[in-house]
Amino acid sequence: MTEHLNELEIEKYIEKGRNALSSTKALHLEGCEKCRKLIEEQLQVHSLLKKLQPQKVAKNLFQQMQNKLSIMPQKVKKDWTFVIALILLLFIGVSILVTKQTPESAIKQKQNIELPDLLQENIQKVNWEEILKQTYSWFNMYLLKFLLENKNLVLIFFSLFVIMFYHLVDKRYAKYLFK
Amino acid sequence: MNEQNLIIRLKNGDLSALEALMKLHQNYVFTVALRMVKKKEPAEEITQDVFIKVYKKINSYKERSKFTTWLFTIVYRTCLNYLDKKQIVYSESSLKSCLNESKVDRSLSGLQQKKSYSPRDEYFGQIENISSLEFDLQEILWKAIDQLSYQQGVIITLYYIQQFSVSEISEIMQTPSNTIKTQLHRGRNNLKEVLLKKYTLEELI
Ligand SMILES: [Zn+2]
Repeated sequence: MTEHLNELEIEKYIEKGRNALSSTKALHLEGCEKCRKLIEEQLQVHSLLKKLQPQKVAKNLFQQMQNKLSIMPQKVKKDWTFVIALILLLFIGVSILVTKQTPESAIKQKQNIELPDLLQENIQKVNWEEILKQTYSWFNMYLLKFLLENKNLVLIFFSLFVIMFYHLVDKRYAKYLFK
Repeated sequence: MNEQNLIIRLKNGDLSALEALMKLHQNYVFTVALRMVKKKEPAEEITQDVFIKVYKKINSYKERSKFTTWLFTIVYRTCLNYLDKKQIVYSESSLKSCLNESKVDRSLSGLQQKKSYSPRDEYFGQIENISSLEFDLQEILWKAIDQLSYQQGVIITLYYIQQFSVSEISEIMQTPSNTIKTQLHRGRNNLKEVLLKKYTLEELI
């Protein structure tokens, strides 16, 4: 009589049926009650295990997990804050432009306009490179003056810019930040 | 929602996709974790940790293998790390001592008779759609599986609950296929021994 079926051969039978066995083993099985009993018991447990169902986890697991991640639960809210920040940014930008057009600043502007006339007189003497350098330094001076005079507005403007930037960065690079 | 779409959305950082993926897989993840750590609270924590890892590492998932194979590889490794940290060692030999203890009989105490306390409250919560007889069968089976070594418990769970093939389980557990087959075979044998202490298999089937 040939050897009994080993564990792997019985497993093959459970998984793929009798045809998976070699002809020698199939023949052995026909004449061996011990092997048939082993297979029958395995098949019984097998069919019992097929009835298994997964166990259920607490329903609020995702919410608990969000607390662990410390991230905003809804993207929709993020998008709204982005839109609000954008509108406020535009509003403040326009406001700054409008408030700069007061009569007083208009007079200042008129005085400033005389500068090109002065340059016109000396246009033969001064080279263009020098003019550009001058213009650039005036621009820097006025920018600095503007920043100093409108600290609060600049601060708000900067904060809104940071909010917008955060949302852009968060959307595109969140996966890297949270690594 | 298609799982593939959810994965693409998650790769773009969409948290609602993670929530949907969790709904699909969390019970299965929890069930496998429970086989390994044997307690509900750490199994729930591990389930959370697994999905946090999924969120963080989703870009490293390439579509070469099934998402669930990738997912349960994370589950298995997270559980192993937990057991390492807690220095919990389960061995094959623990089965024999378990089989001789009266707690097996207590844990498998009757199909019909029900009592004031049941671990099913801990394990199953409220399940409305399963008849009480079927419910008892689930409880009996899970408690019997928990008498096995965690390796056999996990292999049986992955094979029958998640319906992984032997080669997929081999990939998840980084163990040769023949070892998985042998453990599956011995797991069924051990389970039979545990169950036969109280019932006949025909009675349960
Ligand atoms: Zn034989």
